Amino acid sequence: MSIENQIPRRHFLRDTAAGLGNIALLSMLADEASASGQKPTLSFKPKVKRVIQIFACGGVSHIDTFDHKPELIRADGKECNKAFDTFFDNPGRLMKSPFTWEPNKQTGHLISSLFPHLRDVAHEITWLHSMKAKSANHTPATFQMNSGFTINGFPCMGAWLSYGLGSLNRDLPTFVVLPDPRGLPAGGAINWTSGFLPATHQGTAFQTKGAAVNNLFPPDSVNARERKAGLALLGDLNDGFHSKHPDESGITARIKAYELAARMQVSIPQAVDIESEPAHIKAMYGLDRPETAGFGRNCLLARRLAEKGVRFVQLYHGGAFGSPRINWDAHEGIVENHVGQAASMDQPVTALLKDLKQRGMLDDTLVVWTTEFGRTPITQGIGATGRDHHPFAYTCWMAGAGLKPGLRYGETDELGYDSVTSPVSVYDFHATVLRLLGIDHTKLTFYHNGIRRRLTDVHGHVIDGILA
Amino acid sequence: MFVWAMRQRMKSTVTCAAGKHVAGVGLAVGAFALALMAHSASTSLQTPPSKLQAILTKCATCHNPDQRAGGLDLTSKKTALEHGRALVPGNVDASAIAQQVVHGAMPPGNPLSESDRDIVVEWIKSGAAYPTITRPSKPLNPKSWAFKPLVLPAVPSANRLGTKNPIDAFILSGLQAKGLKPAAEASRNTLIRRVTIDVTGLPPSPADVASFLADTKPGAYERLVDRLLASPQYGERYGRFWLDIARFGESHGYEYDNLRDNAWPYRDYVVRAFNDDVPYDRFLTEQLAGDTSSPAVPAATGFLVGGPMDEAGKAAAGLQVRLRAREEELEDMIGTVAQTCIGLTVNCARCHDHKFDPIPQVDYFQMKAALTGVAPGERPLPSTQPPSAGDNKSATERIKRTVQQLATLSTSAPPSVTKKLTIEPLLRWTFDGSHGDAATSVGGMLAGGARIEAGKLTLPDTKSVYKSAPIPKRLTEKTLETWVTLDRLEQRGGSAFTVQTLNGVTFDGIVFGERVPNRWMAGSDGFARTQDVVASDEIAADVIPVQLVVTYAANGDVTLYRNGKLIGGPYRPAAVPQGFDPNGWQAVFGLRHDGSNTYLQGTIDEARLYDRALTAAEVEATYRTPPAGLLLEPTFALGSDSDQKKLAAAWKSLNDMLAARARNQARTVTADRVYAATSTKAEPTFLLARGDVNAPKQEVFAGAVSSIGTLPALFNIPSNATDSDRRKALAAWITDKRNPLTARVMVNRIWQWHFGTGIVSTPNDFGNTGEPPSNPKLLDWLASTFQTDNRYGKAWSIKKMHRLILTSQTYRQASTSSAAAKKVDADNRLLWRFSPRRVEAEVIRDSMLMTAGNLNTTMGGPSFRPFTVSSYGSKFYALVDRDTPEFNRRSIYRMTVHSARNPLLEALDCPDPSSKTPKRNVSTTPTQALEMMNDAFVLRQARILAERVRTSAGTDAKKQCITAVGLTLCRKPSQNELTRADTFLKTNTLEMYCWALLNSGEFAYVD
Repeated sequence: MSIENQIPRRHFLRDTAAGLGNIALLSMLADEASASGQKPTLSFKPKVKRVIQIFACGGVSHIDTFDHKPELIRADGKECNKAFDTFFDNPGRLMKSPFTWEPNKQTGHLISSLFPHLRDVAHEITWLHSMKAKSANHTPATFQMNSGFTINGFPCMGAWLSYGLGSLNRDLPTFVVLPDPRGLPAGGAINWTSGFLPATHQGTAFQTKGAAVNNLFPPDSVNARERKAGLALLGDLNDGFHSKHPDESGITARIKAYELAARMQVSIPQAVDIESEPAHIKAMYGLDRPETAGFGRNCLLARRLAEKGVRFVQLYHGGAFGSPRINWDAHEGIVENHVGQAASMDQPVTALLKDLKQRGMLDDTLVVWTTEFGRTPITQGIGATGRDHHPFAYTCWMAGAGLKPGLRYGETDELGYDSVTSPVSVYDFHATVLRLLGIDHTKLTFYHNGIRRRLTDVHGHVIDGILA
Repeated sequence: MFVWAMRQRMKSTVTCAAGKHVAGVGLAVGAFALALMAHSASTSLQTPPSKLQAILTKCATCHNPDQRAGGLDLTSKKTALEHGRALVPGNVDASAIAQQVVHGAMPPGNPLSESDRDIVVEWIKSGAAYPTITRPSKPLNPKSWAFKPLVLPAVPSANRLGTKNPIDAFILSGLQAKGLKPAAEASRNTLIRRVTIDVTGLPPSPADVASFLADTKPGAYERLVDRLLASPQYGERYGRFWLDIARFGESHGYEYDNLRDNAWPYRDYVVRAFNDDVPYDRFLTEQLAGDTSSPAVPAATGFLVGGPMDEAGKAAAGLQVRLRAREEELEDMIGTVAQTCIGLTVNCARCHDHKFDPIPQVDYFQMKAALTGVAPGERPLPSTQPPSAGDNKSATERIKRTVQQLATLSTSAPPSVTKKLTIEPLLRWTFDGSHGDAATSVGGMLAGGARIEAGKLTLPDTKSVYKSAPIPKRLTEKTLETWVTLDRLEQRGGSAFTVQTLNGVTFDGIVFGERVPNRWMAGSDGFARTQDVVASDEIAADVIPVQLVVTYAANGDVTLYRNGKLIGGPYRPAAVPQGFDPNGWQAVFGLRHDGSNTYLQGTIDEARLYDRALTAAEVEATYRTPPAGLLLEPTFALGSDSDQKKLAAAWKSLNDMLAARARNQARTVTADRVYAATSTKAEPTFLLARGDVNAPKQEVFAGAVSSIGTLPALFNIPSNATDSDRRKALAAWITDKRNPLTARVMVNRIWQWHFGTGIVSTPNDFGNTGEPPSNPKLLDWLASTFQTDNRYGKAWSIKKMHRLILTSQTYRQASTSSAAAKKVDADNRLLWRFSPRRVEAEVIRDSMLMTAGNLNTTMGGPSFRPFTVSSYGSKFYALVDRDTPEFNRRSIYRMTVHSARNPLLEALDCPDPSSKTPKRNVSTTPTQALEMMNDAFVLRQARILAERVRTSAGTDAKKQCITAVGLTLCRKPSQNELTRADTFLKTNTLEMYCWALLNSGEFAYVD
């Protein structure tokens, strides 16, 4: 099977190298080493061409944010005779949400006081209330949300899209990660690894300080005039080697890579130049307030990068699991944790949706908002006020072209304990994202150690019910 | 029929990615259904015989001679009775079969109908007359070519080119069949660069190239190959490939990503095994069960547990979380063992029968039963024999004479040569009673055999210690300096200078050989401020005094120097540096600290204590002010030129002799502990339906893959066998010569390492989804040759296979392309030339160090840590880059953590350590170009290379060009290149010229 995929591909490389010349070589640069894979031709008409993902680290409580459960008010303080798959195995009693709930004006969707801004645009969002995770442990669950697998080393969604769709703008990385300014998520770069896919498809984590990309520029000690001469000399050396091996595509591609690198040195600083944005836009994202400035900056940056053709931008909201908590992991108390987390996210995310919409970008951009699991309707420990991890039910959402806006898909039971109506697996979620990009998730594969690997493993069904 | 069978199968199992082999599966299922329906001649039973036969056929799906589920074979009465309790004809109550069936336990998950149960009961009651059972009726996938027994194929008589190497005959016959011709032999200059980088991962030096080009005697190339295979760098190169497959990482991954401080002994084991040409069957056996062998090699089992480990999950209070974390860990282990050793993806059969290969789910769980006692953890290493002195008497005499000569020269120097101390210590122990000697001014106590005489502190035995009185000063930031000679280099754990609290609980000291033999370290209480950063062995301190300095800065940085030069750090430990209150502390010599029981034996000429951290320049300056009467190095200016020359010559000779002595003693660094497999009680293993920890089915016993016809899958060991017996049995099964996969898989890897692509291009997958061999007979010839003793060498010798391949004409071909050949075989699978290829990330980094003359070739020992660590629930690693001997070691000695990878190496496709990587990707990206152009490491090597070139070639541009091109590209520059260099260097620096060479495509390729 793999040989059948390889030979035509190699012929393509050979033919372009011999005939079509540099333009074709340039366009195949990023794909050069993917001979062992099968590049999908798009199976469907794509609804969107780029994705912005917001990842809320730590496990956002669905029943305190987007999935209102009046039954919990009645049952508050009562025992819950259900089996839980928690991390700390210290079941307490049922606890009502401590927040107040108000409806979105258009759809009536009740959203808690944690998200007053997002409530106003809830009718633009497609809600998935019946998510189910495979693990009650942060990192495996986060890995699954990112890569489909609960273990280290599998390519994440951004890497798959880079591999499957390539770049929209070769002067910028295809897959950019914007870590929370408060710190990297647990596992750091494992979360945006290309796994066994070629290194090309690795997420590029933009630095919060200095140049956005590592080694984008030489240090100041390198004289610019001399570097220019050095590059010219390098060109001559490479031409000499190339003339010895005129039809070696890798050697040709290497020469082009240096030219592309030079173009990135121009385009990346332009893309990240937030200062060029007008004041009212900056204020809209909350750059003028300390609690929203950090994440607001990343949301604005995400819009700029998407606008300039980055295929996949992933924003992390929340860092690792240290103390004090800098993510949504509300073991100790749902109020003290979620209030602060939501305050830093609500306005910037809402601004991103509004800004994309006002620029018409929501017509070909998909925004997805994810977390790794929900939180228990019971407290963690009797008499406590925090909630433990809960993989049986949680809420994620999407917004953008190809979706039914305002739709609330799937339901949890009256306690928010289980996803009972139309449960959605992480595989289904990924399959649907790929579908919106025009990809059949069963056809985006890469051969590795015996298996044509997929983002959706051997599972996944497109959630037809949310597609417009 | 076909469609029906397909649907049934899809329902009952989880499908595994779409593929064309589903058709094969469907047919096999059809065959199974037919077998079930088959009627056969009757017996004298009351029930219709076909019915009973169908039931027993079902039982025999698992209870057959190969699988023997539950240790039971139900294909004949004879074998059924062998089990004892399973079948007792005439006695239903005593027959386990009846009990299992009646209670619905068997067949698992699919109990017999009421009427079928009655049939079984009646059958046993009436004496259990056995119908004929045909098996296997299991719906297995087709076996790929790789399962077929290994037979030595005849060598084709393609001798027209007069080649003697059978490899060439196979390749030529393949080429001839397609009307292709091999390329001519590559130029000798190309060959030496190709084979040197290939075998050692480093380019040849200009001297290597020159001597090879000058060697016109027959067999020059073969001698070169032998020399390279014998060089220790070979093990570092091929060990790295093995570590890729073994997914070797030095942190746990997942949420916490904690460091594995003691994983490196496995890396050293692998390097050494390649260098020693450990037979491959033993190499595998040690990695699976080395802790049980004699002598024990526990470090080898680091192989089993090299994968990521979910510490949070394994320690979770929630039972489900814990169970799943352990299942994932075992899948990683089983997958690694099966893919590495036999090229089968057994891990794909964890939740269902393998979709494409004849690997039923039970095979996965049999392997799980074989490995289920393995837990990752730290275990002590057996203490190794102290290296035999191996001292050659005359060599020792020569060393002594040279030291004597140095002493004479040093005393003849005018007193002005050794400068006065310019940096004032807080305290100075000169042990000569002179003014300011702390031994007098502070005072102290000698114990054991310790004595102060002739201006020295002598510590002759394992009870000797000198402790100062309490010191009435405050000490926070500090520098310890000591001038020490050791009695023996084999001693371990004593201190040449310690400061401690009076109770000995808190201390910092200059400690020798405690954690790593022969190496200095900054010792501290509970190793709170200790890291194994010194990269080279002490080889001289038993012959001459050496200066050791450790500085402790206010920010926590700890830095080590020897004889004025940086040897380790700076590193910043997590623990805050200790402060000592006035009169609450003292100096100690000999004993590591109070509370320890290890002493240093040797002499201290002088010790100096500073109340601040000296800079590198200051340490250099203190080295220039040695204690009176010490040997002087050539950098000290003696009075006369002739003495100066004699001094330099004597030092060179001494250093050469000490290096030779160290080589002869062949010390290998060993650790006390290793992260490896720890053995626990092997609990019973149950097949898990859909791989779900909550759905256990029948018990499964230790075994392996059932589809190798000649080799039974179940191990011949008791069902309650110990963990070590299970693993030994697994190793025996894998290395059994009747197992055709083991040898095929390994020779294919060796082939791939040399040619870039294997004969099978999917090295970890010899099943149906893998690619069939491009030259099956060659593969089998290599595998058979590998397995046996023969004229090429011993059975399972890896170096024998390297030699065969490297000396073939096939390997020696030029890389010149041919349009005609490309039309027939664009991928060069038939090898009508040598395919040029980009070298691996490590080769690029190591070659830069080597060409710049900056490579530290010290082998083995703890990895260098190119990062600082911070903790926020999880560990975070901030990468650092330094020009220190430690950091200038080969890349294989770089500590690889999962969550922070080196951007330069990563851009060059250095793999994610979590991923089993049998074959490196080769990608070319703008990010890679940015790293190569701008990374501080690359820029620094360019600068150092330029210095080297200038030193050797002087200021003439053309000479500089010849030297620089020779070092980097291993050839002479062309006339054009000389002219270009001349022009370039008129207006630009040599450093920029070297930068361009290091960035060039030619530097990054072998052709």
